Amino acid sequence: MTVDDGVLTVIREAVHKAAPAFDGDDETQLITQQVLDSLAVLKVASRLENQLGVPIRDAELLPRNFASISAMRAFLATKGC
Amino acid sequence: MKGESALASDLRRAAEQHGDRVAVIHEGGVLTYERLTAAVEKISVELAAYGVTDGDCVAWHGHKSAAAVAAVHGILRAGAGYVPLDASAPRDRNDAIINGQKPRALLADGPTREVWERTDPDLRWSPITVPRPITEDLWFAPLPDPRSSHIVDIAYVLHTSGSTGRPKGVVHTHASARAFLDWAVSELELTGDDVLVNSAPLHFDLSILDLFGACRVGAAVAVLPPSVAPLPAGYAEFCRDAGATVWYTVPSTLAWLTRRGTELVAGIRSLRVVALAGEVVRPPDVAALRAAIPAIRVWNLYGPTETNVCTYHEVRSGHPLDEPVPIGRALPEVELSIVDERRRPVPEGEVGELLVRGDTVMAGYIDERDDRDAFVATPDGRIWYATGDNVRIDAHGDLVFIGRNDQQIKSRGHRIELGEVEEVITGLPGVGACVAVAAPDPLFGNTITVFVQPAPSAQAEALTLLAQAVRTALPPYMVPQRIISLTDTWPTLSNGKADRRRLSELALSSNALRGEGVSVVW
Repeated sequence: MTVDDGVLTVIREAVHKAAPAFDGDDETQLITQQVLDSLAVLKVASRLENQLGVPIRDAELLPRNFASISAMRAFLATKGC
Repeated sequence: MKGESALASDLRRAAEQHGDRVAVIHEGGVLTYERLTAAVEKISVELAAYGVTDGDCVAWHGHKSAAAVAAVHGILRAGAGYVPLDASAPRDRNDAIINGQKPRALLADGPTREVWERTDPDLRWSPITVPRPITEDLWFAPLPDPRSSHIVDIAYVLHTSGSTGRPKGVVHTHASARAFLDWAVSELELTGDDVLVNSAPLHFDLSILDLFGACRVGAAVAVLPPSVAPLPAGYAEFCRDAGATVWYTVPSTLAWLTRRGTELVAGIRSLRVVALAGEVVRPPDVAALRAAIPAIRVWNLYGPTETNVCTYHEVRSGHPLDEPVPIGRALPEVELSIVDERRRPVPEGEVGELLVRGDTVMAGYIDERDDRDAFVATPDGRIWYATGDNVRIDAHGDLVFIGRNDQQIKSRGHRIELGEVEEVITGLPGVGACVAVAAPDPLFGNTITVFVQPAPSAQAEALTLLAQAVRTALPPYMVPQRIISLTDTWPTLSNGKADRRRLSELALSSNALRGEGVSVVW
């Protein structure tokens, strides 16, 4: 289990903001299960950038980095979050 | 059996002449024309064995994949027309389509069949084992009371949003598809070396160019997998790796891909043609595209689903950023007229409604009642499709899109009748009345805000459940970005109707939404 260090809370909030009806967990496949569409993905990315103060490059907007809340956590860990 | 249809013979010819060429690029690899044809033949033989024949319709319901491409071609080879259902649409909407259409059968992929099995245990499914390398199996279920189409030569039926809340089935024939493809192959100079990106869902008419334009010239179609489509870098990487040369998409997708810079698009070096359709093209997005790929050729294509593409305009380099991009001129086999309320041509340069007739125009709607409003006669007795779009001719003789008189909007390239959104939401528990308005959005054309008045008997929790109910009742692209509950009545016009202009302003100003009796449900 991932220990919530605050980053996870930010990610969960970003997903809920972009997809208000989301009721899955950290492992829910957000892209293939169509929780996040193309607009929602950009909203999540902007919110993470603003809240965590880390820039996310265009080239990082990839399925493996945004597939689930856990995947986003792992991706942000590579950026020192 | 009648002779082989146009779209089926295009595939047969491509396979005979270029069997070893790549026909489909998909998430799992590539499929040559020979392999694609083997799968298509298997599907069509099985469909025929189940009784599918000329003039029938078969609904396709599944996710985008190599199997989906084979399924569509298989239905056509069996002599039937295909009816693509939206894989992400709610069950009720797909049921409405099936009930209006009465196809002979439903063809589905494995995951979609599982959903049907849970909700409709009466369907009897049989597997169709598709030859490798396609790894997904398909499933077939006969449907009750099938109806053959009154339209000969039926090729496909696409469903558009209907203002009554009921989707309208637009029937295209092999002849109308062929008229469009002949033009597209010539204008876009398609050859067997091209790779066409299929970005649009198969129930959206942009896919006609991708699927059948490729077949016509022995080119490849690269089917954008749903797992990468919503992610800009994933999208661009797929196009780059596929060696995409032709990209037919909606302006919203171009704006979305260039919004965070041009780095991603610049990586798709093989791209030579971008064709845009479905909504208004914004010159800055085209400029961003050209900055990324200077040699790119860009077309603005126009036409409702009912006419497919009926006008076109190549956007030249240096198009002024503040000037609208024209929708251009008629295709060779298409006639246009710009008319006033009495359907008389307007003087040159004045605004009027665009009427269309010619070879690319649909044969009609599945429900003939829908034809009455759509087809109109001009005083000279000629019959036209009335687009509902207002246009005028500019100084260069090109048509320019001005707007609409009704409640039809475009959001992310999808055509949406606000009336359909209202009709569906009004039917949900706890809702007394509702009004849907559109607000312009720089990225996605329009966003939808819905104002809801709770039903007098509504329980407090009904509105908290509304967000979820809306998502289950509408396809994702019709789901409003905001739902606002007003306990008071909303602003009305003197005739008692909702003041949509005032509500649109209210939707745009978030401050106005903090009053008493106002709560933002979503």
